Amino acid sequence: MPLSTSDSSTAEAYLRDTARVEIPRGELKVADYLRVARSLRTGPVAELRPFRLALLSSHTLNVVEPYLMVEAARAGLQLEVYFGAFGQFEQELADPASPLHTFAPNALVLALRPEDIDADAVVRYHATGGERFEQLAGTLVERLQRCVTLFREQSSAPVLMANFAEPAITPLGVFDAGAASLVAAYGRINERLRRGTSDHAGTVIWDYAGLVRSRGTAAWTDQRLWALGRIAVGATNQPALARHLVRTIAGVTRPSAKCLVLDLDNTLWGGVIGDDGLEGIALGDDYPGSVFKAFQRRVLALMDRGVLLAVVSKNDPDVVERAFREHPEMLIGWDQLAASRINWRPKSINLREIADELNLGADALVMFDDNPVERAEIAANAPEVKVIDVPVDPLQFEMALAECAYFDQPGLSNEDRTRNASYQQERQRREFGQRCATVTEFLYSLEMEACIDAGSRPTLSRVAQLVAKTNQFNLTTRRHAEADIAAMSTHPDYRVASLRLRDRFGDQGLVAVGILARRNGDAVVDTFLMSCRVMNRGVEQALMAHLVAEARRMGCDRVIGDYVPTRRNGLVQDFYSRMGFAGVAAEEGVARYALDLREETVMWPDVIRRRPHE
Amino acid sequence: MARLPPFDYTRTAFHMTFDERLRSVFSSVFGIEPTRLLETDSSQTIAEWDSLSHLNLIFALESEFDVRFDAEEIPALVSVNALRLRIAKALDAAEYV
Repeated sequence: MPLSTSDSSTAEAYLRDTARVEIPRGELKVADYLRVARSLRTGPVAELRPFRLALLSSHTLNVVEPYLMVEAARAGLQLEVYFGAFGQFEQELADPASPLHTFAPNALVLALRPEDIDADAVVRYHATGGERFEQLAGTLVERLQRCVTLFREQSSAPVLMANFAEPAITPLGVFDAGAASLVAAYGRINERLRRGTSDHAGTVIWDYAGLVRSRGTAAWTDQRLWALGRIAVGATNQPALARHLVRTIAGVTRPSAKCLVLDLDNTLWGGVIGDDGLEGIALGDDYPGSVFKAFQRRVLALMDRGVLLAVVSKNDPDVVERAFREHPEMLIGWDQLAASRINWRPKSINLREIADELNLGADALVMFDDNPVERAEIAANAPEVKVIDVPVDPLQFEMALAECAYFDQPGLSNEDRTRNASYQQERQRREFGQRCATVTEFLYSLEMEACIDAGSRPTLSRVAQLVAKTNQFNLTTRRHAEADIAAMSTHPDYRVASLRLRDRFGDQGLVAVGILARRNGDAVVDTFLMSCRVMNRGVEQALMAHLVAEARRMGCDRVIGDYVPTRRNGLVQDFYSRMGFAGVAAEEGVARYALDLREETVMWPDVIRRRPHE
Repeated sequence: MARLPPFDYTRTAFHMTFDERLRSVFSSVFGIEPTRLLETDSSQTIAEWDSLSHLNLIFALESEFDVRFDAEEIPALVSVNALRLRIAKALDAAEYV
């Protein structure tokens, strides 16, 4: 008997019995993707976070759905995908009752291809000396910006804009790179898109062009699929597209890790330093030492973008420090490490200590260790720590580090660029503090200066980053999107304030954020958070003093502050009491405090000088 | 010159027969228990076999059997039997037809 529509209950029963959702690792066959995607559709999976993704494109992308679902599951998301009818961007975005807005996506992808909009402008590039293409470029960027504006009227979810991938065929063929290059014109349109995007909060570029280039322009499209269904992505490239898009989404929607913890023997150098000695380890310009030197350079590239470095190794600490200081080929300096634990204890314990020392959660650490036994020990005893599945062959180390998505984040703030320097300053501050007789003397002699900003455009991405990442000194842990914060900063019922700190050792950057909202005549502290790096220096009091003054300017008689407990913010449970607030009644799960502005206030701390806005 | 024996498609790395591999792909794509798949099944009898899942089925078969279908024939290969014959022909394994 054939399996017909009426027989679908049998099919469901079969699925119910067999669909344990195991999410396989490594390379998958097409059929495996389809099978796993199928089981992911049968219902909610406990360990995955539901996520709704909407895609609007000028070419058919529906066929990629199973790959997206499986790759998203590997990244911890249970994806539900909405595909708009192709080309119908504005209609869907403008209508608040459209299927797109009803779907209420957690992220929106806009994927336009110039050749889909105006094939002549691309294919017959030289018919108008490239002029038509330049016009198209301007139209496309404006159109995408208009789409974001329309979407923002309904949603603050992040928007990912695909940039433009150069076509496989160019009119000048092998001589395209000479004069009047079409590929160069694509470079210009992408630059235009990048500049256009940077004005829109919560909007990032999805580097579709980079993806196509890395997979090979010539092999990207399967002409059969294009002919049959306007599918621009060949079947063999669909898993890669899904991985790339999911990684981009994850990089936008979740906090990035902050510290790379490295093993030493057979990770930063070849061999075992305890056995082989300083001269015996492989590290230098010839193979195999060249492999480890190249890996160290990659590690330093991560440091350059703000990732802290630490080492955990089972070794003799003196031998290791000597290797760092004296080995002529060692690229990573001992003083560039934010923390180290060289001893014989279990690595999970050392990792927890490092997290505490750096004021980070253990989930902000990423471990790179060549030894699978150590990795298993960490996974078992410090499961929050992210452990890279390090390949056996050291030649693969660089790629393993590049492919791990834990450090992904859109954009690079000044704080990222200078974070490592500031941790070094922090060590100097600690040493300085130990020489001071009293805490007060220490604080005065730090010569701190603070400057408060009301959510101006250049500070927004750092403010949003702190809002997304701060776990410990965070009273409410509300993760506002950048676009929401931008809206609040200009709304009459909101005040956004961020505090930038500088002292004799250097610029600490933007370290604290507070958001006030007017509700029933009260000024409610919606958000109050601070980087733990500047704890116990009076910074929180300075920002609160500013918010209290703002509340008075808003004409409020009370400031209301909530402490919403989480697993991580026990640190601040008595914050409002310390600031002189009194407890009041609140709903369950919230400790509420109030400050009566007619009788009380919060004073700006004497130890910090207030600097006018720069 | 000695001729190489024909490749035995019934013994893949997974020791599955041609028929088992075929059933396994259909099972992945449509969620049908492999043993319940019939030779007479087609886009008419399997509700989920629509134009979109058809393309996914085609990719899955192409990658499983390392074959390539022409754009022209893809829309017509909408039954188990048609696909089985077509793949078997491509594999030059007439004895399994």
